[in-house]
Amino acid sequence: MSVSSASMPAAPAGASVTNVTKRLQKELMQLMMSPSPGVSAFPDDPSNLLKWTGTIAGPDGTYFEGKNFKLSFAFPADYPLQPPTVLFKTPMFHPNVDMAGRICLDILKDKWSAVYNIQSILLSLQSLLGEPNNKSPLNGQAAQLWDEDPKEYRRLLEKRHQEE
Amino acid sequence: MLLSGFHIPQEPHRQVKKRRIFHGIFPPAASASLPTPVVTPVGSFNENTPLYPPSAQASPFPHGQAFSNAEGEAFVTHSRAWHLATSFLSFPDSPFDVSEEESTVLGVQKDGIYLRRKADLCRSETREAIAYLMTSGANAVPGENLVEWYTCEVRRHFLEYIRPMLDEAERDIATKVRPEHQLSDIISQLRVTCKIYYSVYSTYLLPYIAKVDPIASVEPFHRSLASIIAYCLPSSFPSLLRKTFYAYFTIILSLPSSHSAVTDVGLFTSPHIPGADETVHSTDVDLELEDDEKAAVDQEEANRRREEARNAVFKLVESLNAIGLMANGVGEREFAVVIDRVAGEWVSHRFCGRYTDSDLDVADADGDTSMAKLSASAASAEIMKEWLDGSLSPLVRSIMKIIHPGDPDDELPPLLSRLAHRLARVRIKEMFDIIVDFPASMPGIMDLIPTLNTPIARLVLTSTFAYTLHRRLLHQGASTVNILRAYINMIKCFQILDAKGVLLDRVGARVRRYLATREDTVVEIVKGILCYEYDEEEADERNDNSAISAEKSDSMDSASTFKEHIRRRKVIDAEVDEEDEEDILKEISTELQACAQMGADKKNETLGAAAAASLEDLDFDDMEWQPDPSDAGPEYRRDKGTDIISHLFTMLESTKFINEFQNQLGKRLLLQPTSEFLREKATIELLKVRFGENEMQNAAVMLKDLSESRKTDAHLRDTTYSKQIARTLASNGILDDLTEIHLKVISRLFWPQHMISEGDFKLPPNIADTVELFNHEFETYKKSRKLNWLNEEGFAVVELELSDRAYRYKQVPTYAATLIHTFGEPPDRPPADIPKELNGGQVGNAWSKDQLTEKLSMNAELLRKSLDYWIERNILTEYPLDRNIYYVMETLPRNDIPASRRTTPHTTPMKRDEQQSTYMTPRRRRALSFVSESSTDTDGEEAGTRKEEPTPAKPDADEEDPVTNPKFMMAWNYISGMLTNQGPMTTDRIFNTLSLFLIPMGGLQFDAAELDQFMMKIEENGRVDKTPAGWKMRK
Repeated sequence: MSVSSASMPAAPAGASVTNVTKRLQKELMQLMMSPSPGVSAFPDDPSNLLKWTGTIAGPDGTYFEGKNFKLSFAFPADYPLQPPTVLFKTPMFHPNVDMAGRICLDILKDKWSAVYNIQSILLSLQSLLGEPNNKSPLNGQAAQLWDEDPKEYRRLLEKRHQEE
Repeated sequence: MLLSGFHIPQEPHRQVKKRRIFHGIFPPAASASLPTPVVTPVGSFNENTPLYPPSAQASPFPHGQAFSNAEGEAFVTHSRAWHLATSFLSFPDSPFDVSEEESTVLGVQKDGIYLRRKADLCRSETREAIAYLMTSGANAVPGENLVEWYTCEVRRHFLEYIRPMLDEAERDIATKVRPEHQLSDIISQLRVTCKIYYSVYSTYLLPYIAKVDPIASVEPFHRSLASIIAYCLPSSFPSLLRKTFYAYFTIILSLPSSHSAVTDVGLFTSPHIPGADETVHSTDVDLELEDDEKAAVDQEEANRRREEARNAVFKLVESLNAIGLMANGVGEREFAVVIDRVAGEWVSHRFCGRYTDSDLDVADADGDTSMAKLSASAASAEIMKEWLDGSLSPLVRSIMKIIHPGDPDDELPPLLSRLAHRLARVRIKEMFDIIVDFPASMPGIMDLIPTLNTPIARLVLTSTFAYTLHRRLLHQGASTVNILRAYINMIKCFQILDAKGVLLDRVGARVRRYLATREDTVVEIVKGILCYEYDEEEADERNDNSAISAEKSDSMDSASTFKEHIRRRKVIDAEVDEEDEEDILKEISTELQACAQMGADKKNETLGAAAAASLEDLDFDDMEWQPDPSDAGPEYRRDKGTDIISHLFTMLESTKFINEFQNQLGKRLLLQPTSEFLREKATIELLKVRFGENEMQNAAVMLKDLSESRKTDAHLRDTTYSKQIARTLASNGILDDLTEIHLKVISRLFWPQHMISEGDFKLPPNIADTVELFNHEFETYKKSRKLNWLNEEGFAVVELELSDRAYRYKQVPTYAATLIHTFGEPPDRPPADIPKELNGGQVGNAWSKDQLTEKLSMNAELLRKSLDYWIERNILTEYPLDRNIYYVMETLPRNDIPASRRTTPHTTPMKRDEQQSTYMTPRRRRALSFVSESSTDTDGEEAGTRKEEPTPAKPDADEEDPVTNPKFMMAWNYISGMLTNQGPMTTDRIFNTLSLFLIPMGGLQFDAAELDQFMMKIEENGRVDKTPAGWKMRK
């Protein structure tokens, strides 16, 4: 890390990157030391901590039971002041997730606070899987089928879902 | 008084002077030295001059001093003598008549008419005049003027009269068919002319000169004549001469073309002897000869012709020599050209297409059987030497003797090496055939080696060969197997020709590039590598077949038995043939073995050498270093592997090859009934040497799976068998023939994914029962694992008994076996309207497609495949009136029913049914029986054969869970995070990543090897899997 920051000529940016990496390193350690069941995350590249991949196991008792979902995290240079960009990499069929994997979740947008961290984001997303906000759907079909036609929902989810 | 003889005494004096001066500057030209014009009073000089006494009439020079007194007198005498001599010596204004000149004298060399007439004309005064002119007179050198004049006169005569004749002879070519006849015309004309020229010269002039300088005397005249002849020769003369020489030499040397071209061999044995022609046709008389006698006569005739041709050639050479056209002239040149051509032709005739030992021997029908004893490489050289010594050299020698009588014998040019080059040229042209026939064509290659010592020769070889390759091999019409086979032979041949591999590099590159564009190159090579057959089984199958048919045929009418038998055999044989049909590159596996044996001791050495080779050019202490051969191409690599296999393998992308190898190996492993696979094991070991351990890991695991399965299979069958018997006895009390099941357990991750097919269907009930039993047993045998059956893979042994025939199939795909099992019984609701007999064949159970789908829950594609399998084998067939219904052909339809009467969808089957029902056999035999089904299989859908699902209780109960090891506790959290989110990783990558993250927190307490062990323990523990891409979290 020190190497990468030293090689950065722009001093202000370099300082903030150092702060971000420090913070992220700490978060990683927390995640590793006290993992929460069903969620996990890890940096893509040890030399660049701004990109992570996370995994959520579908909560029991939901349509997503038994399935794993991959997420990508992209942290801005001023994290944790700004929220990371989180996308579903595994194809998803969910009322609050669009076909490109973008997520509609308030804490990732206007309700973001610096006290949230990766673990809390993962847990929020896990609970979002079981309890979607059908009032503001990104995927109207999913929102409609969620309650009306579980069988069709399951079929479409199955069709879309594919793990690596 | 004397003066009165001269009209103007002063003038001649001045004239002579003037002439001398003039001639001193300009030598007398031909035009200037014509005989004195007739206007000069020759007649009066000879006969009517009163001034001379009668004696003077006989000779103008009775008293030398009479002339010597005055210059005027000398002039008069001189010009009179000149006039006399020149008019005598001059030639008539017409060419000489050849026939007259030659035919008058029979057999004896004597002067012709012209010369005799000339001799008659030569009176004493002429002689004296010549003598005067030659010995004294006004010449600086006595005789020179007259000799010069004569030379010019010959030239004039030749140009004016002989040349047109020669030109005419040339123009006649169109009308005269034979070159030798034309040649003969020209030559005899020349010969006669020359003879006259020479005779006159030698008779009248030479004696005087010879006294002065005998050697120099003939030379200038001879040279002048030879040059004028050479100048005037018709332009077609060289080609005429060449044709004639060629015709004679082909006869003398018995070349093949001598049979077609009938050459008049008697032509040059001139002079013509009347009646000589009769001898040529003498054989016409003896028409009633026996064959062998005839052969003898033919032989004799050939010998005679050869002898005559030989004589003719000698004669021709002699006459050419006589007219100065042979030595150093056009004759010698053409002779050399023809000899070379004939030699070349002999070589191609003798060796073309004969590059194997047997060919070379057979060719010695002429009688020299000694060749057979010679070793292959020396054979052609010996044959050439023998021919040279026996036939060509004597001929050339004797002709050379005629041309250059003085030359020593042994000055012949190096004919043998020329022949060798000719031979090499022939071989280069047929290089491609030589390569195709390779091991047998070894002598052909040996012929090439001695001549390939110059860069040009090598270039010719490679470029010619490359052209042939393009024309004959590297195109759409050639199968990949053939190209590969040719390439293998090419490698072998060129390695013999050139151990350094430069030539191979040049020609091989094209083939390699071409093969790389072909999709199936990899497939064929792999097929070749894996091509060994399990012969014993095939033989067994054949025996079984015949045994069954023999048994069956006893129960049938003897009349039809034979026919049926034949037919059945045909079917069975056809199946066997079908398997053998494919053209497989067996060579590759042989080569692989051979290379392995050869290279076993050298292996370490070569591996080390290959590693060192890259550094070789930088090693300045290497005293053995040699530069690349000068004609090496840009892609040439010295350190390239030299064996065939490495040539083939370097052509391929190794990943492509390894994938294909795994595919084919997998197919093979699943389809072979045995579990031994010794050959495959050996092959994999050999390939490991070339590709490295890692690359062949999957293949090794596949093999290991198979040998594991054998144990598992044995164990499971032992345990299930007793249970099965007990159960069967309990259920129905009869010990039915139990279907034997064998299983092969494979690890899904290591087998090519596309091979693990997902098709599913219901197994026949009795088999399904057994499978259940196996599942159960397996779970107790291997804790925490469970079988996942791949129904579609594997095969079954199926015996079919039909009313008229019985079959035993060794390798029926499981789906087809299941299908035919279904046909063993009629469906619940038999399709309506199926007649009992159709086209003379008895109809068995019939099922519709829908019924089958319902019963087997097989997908449509697989069902279609299964049906086709049996339709192809003439067991099932489509019901013509309803394409959805299939029935068993209990007996084969009769072939003798005309096609017009066969049931087609347009005729009603009902009537036929009634008419023919009487022929039916009363009782239908049991149509089918599953004797056994060895279902291999493997499973593996999602988790491979071992769908290794840890039973939940297990891992926790494990007393030594590696994760609890404090050294790895924290690391494991990171590892699981890594693997969960970033997918499979190798140990190395895990180690690197860990060290980056953990160093800030106190560093790692283990090294990479320890980590690897830890991962292995974790794997046993069931939390991760090893995949080709690295470790992977188990779900």
